[in-house]
Amino acid sequence: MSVPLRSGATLVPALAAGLVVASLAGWIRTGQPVDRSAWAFVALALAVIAAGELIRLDLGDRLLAPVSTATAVGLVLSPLGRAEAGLPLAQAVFAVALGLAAGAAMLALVGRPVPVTDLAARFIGVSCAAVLARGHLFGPDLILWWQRPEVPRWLGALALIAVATVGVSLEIALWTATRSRTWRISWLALVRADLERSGAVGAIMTNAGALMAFAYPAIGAWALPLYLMPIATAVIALRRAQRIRDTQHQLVRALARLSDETGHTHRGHAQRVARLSVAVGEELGLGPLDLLAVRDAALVHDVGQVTLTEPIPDGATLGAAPAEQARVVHDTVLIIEAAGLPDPLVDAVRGSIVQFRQLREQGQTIPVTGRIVKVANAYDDLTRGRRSARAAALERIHLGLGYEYDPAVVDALARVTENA
Amino acid sequence: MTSPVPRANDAYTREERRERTYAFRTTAVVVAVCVAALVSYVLSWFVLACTLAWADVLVLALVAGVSNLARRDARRGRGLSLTGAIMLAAIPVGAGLGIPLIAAAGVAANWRSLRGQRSAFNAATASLAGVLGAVLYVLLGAPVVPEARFAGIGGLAHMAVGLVVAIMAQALTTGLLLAAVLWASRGIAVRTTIRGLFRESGLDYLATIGLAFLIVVTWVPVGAGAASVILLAPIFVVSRFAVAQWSNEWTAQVRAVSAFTTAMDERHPGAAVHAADVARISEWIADELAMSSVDAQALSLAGALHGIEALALPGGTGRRTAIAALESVDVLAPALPILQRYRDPVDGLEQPPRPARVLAVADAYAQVRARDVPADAPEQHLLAYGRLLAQEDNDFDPAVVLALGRVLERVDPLDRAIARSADTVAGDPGTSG
Repeated sequence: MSVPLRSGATLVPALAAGLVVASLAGWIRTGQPVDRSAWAFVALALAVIAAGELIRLDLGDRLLAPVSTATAVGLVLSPLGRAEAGLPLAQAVFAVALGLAAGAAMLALVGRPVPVTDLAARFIGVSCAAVLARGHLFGPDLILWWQRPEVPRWLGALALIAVATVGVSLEIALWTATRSRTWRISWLALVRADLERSGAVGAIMTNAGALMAFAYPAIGAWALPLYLMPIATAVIALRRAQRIRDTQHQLVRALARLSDETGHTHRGHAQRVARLSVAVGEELGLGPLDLLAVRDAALVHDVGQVTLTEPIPDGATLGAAPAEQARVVHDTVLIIEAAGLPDPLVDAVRGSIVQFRQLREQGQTIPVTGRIVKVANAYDDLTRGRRSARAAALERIHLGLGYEYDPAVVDALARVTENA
Repeated sequence: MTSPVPRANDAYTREERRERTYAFRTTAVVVAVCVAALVSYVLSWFVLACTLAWADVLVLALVAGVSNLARRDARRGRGLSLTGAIMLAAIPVGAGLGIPLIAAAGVAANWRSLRGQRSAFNAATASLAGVLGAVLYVLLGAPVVPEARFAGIGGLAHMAVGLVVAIMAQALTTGLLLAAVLWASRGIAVRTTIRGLFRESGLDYLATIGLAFLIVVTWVPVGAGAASVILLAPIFVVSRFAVAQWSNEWTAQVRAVSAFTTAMDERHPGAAVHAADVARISEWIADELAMSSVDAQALSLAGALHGIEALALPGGTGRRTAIAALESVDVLAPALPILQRYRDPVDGLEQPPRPARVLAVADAYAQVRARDVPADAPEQHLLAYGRLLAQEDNDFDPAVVLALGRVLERVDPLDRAIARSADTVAGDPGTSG
């Protein structure tokens, strides 16, 4: 399913710009004066929204600014001022726009790219929360309603959390819509992936923002740093999680290098097999996770050779006895299991030794990733990276077609190496 | 299953007698801690004479239990746990007398690792530390429900000071009790445990205070009451995730080391045990020499990985390059300068760094002990030390050798019985706060 947006990357900023103009016009038309009684909180919130743009969370292809978002939500939902109804709708929306604009200016000043579409999507989401809370859409102003003595406190808090959730959800919907056309990925699939990846951060952003507003009448501006604290913890924890993923990736590279450095394999063999395996995987239409598994499995597939006292000549397992090949794979699996590498990678390495006929004749499960690594390894053992040896290598591999190697993978290899 | 037949004391081997001593001492400490927890609780009724809302206590105990369900934190010695934060928050909200119940719920929820002595020790330690913290908090005059003293920044600041004092008391109590049980079960010096615990857990205790403060503010001044634990649920989840990342990062490092030690062991059977021995001895020497925690951790890594050079093919140039393979793994990088220099002569023009000199001694000692000392010899650890000193080609840093000697006079770092005994008790202070 694709969202019918011609160009989300243009439409979303245009919509946001329209909202800014409308809020300014609304403010001027109603002629409401600025309520200065809550200036300290508003000024602090604007500063945090701006600075929060610099505290970003990199989730690969998605940049989040959780501190900025939570503060913006807290600002538009807080009952500020003497009337205890908070800033009027137009002023609240315009204030958030000011904060985000200041954040964009700070990003530009420090030489970092300004993600205009992301900022616009966030602004529209927060504005939506402001409209729900202050727009008299469902009768009384929500902010005045939850402060009534007859309304249970927990119900008021839940209402604020619900409004904040709608706002942040709209931001996610807009962001994924703009990316779904660019990346040609189904919008629903992108929303699901985004929720899996950043759902926890989204939940804490809405929660902290709403509770900040909920606590404001009791503890004033202190609500802001207090409820931002868990977000800061989350940012630190997510960066730590990223470091853990980096460690795993570095470990794969180090293991790939180990068999080269100790003289057991032909230099650069693992890297060539990895490049070839990924190319074949792409040719066969593998998804991103399978491509990752096939790349890493190819990088580490020979690390078990370091346990051999008598090395295989040139590290070419293709010419080794079956028992020796089995020993290498067995030890490779032992090492990568000890390293805690993911199961799909371990399965791919296990599958890289199994003959294709076992799948055809006995129905044994051999992951396609393992079949790819097997073929790519054989090709590189035969060519050593020399293009001139391609024809002879393919001829040799064709001798084992359907018995040793998967024909579909070998066809893909032929196409890939032809274009290389 | 038949019960073992009692034997006369002289019928036990020396190792069995030592194990029995450790077991007896451990049981004595655990019983003493349980009695102290009980007595302190009874006495606390005279101080914590505030309104006790059992419904609130039950809510907090339930949340403590749920937050600890299927906890997978691998690392011992970490102080932060949601149970700790909830126990701390229980004081200002008037549920201080329910602390033992909250502590017990936290321990019981971790049912997968429930073991008699260990669980009793953890629950009693948590209860004792929690009650002592609560008593100090109240004696300081910090605000407690239903007193309306939370209002304004003054009230919040007073509460924050009270919580800091309470958690410091809890941390100190937990540390002392843990040190006592580790002394009883492994012979580890009390100061070593205390120093290690505070070095590793300072930030965690800070986070515990922050979380407790958040619960109390949402509960009392903001007025959400017991519902605050539901409103703060996403924050609990994220905090738990954050705590898990501490463990996961440590686990990632352990696994990175394990990948290489597995390779070494497959190539040279027994290499993994030797590597673990060298790492352990290096840690003890580093502690004896009061080296920084950064150096001590780097030494532990280097000790575990020092056999990597043996993966190179004989006659090749692979020794240095095998070590270089570790360069690309950031968490292993601190070990590189030690691995590259630990074979360098001490009397050379350019002295190897001190951690490298420690590793050289630890490696030599472990080799001598495995090679030259019979497994059934009495006082193996001292015998091996004597053999090390007698080596003619001895080229070690004398200060490091002396430090090893001081360690060995106190304890045998490679005593397997010590490690086994530690597993039966070594508490997880995560549940005690």
